[in-house]
Amino acid sequence: MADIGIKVSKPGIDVSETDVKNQVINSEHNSLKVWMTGSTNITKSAGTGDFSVNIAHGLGYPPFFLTYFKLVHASKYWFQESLDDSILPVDFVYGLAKADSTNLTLTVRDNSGVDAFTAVAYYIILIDKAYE
Amino acid sequence: MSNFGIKISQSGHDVKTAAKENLVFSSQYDTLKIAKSGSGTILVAHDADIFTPGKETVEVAHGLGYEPAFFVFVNNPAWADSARLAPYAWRSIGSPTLTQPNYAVDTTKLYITFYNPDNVNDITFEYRYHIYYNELA
Repeated sequence: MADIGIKVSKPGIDVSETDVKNQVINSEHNSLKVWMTGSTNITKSAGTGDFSVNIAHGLGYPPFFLTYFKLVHASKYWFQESLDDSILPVDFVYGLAKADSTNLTLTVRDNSGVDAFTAVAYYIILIDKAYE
Repeated sequence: MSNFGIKISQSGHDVKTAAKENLVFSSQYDTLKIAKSGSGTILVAHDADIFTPGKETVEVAHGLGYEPAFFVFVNNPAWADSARLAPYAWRSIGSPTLTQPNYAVDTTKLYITFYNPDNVNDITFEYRYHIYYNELA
């Protein structure tokens, strides 16, 4: 195949002489592409347990994703699996996420039984597959 | 709106017919755009109380004025190869104290909090982060 395509370098760098790491886009290499973004409420009742919401993504395969949760400490958005340490060391509340070919499942897990609250989960679902 | 924009397909795929999974780039879809990246190490001193971990928080100002998407990698001191990084560190089963870092963001900063569950020894963690322009909304 002929040497065709697009390369865009970072400012101040000659695109014809630079490595891929200094390029913003190089058509020889795939890039992560956003499919869906959004947020959803997750209602957690009092007591321990998992409280989940499914987000249908329509891709037909498990996609790459990023999720963040507004938990008890509502001024911060916590990365998936991060304990909300505003209530430590007594309480253990955190957000979990997993994807299959149909849904992104967002879960608030309460291991210690705090009062009811409504969490907000923010998600970015990428077109790119979680695995090939 | 007219059907215009830019599409770049992966090698071996016709850009006019390629599925979205086979595109390197399409202006129809947003991308993750890095606003700030960085790395560092931090020493987390031990706490002699076995029920209270040592704790340190790295705060990174991002200056965006909204809650952005981000990604953090840390090493796991339990691994023999300390150069390896992962988005999550190991959480010990049955441990009375935390071992896993926490990551959070607000409108001004990224917060990376490290815990040292060892009540005798200090631990040095390595971390790397990417903060994206993409807003969580």
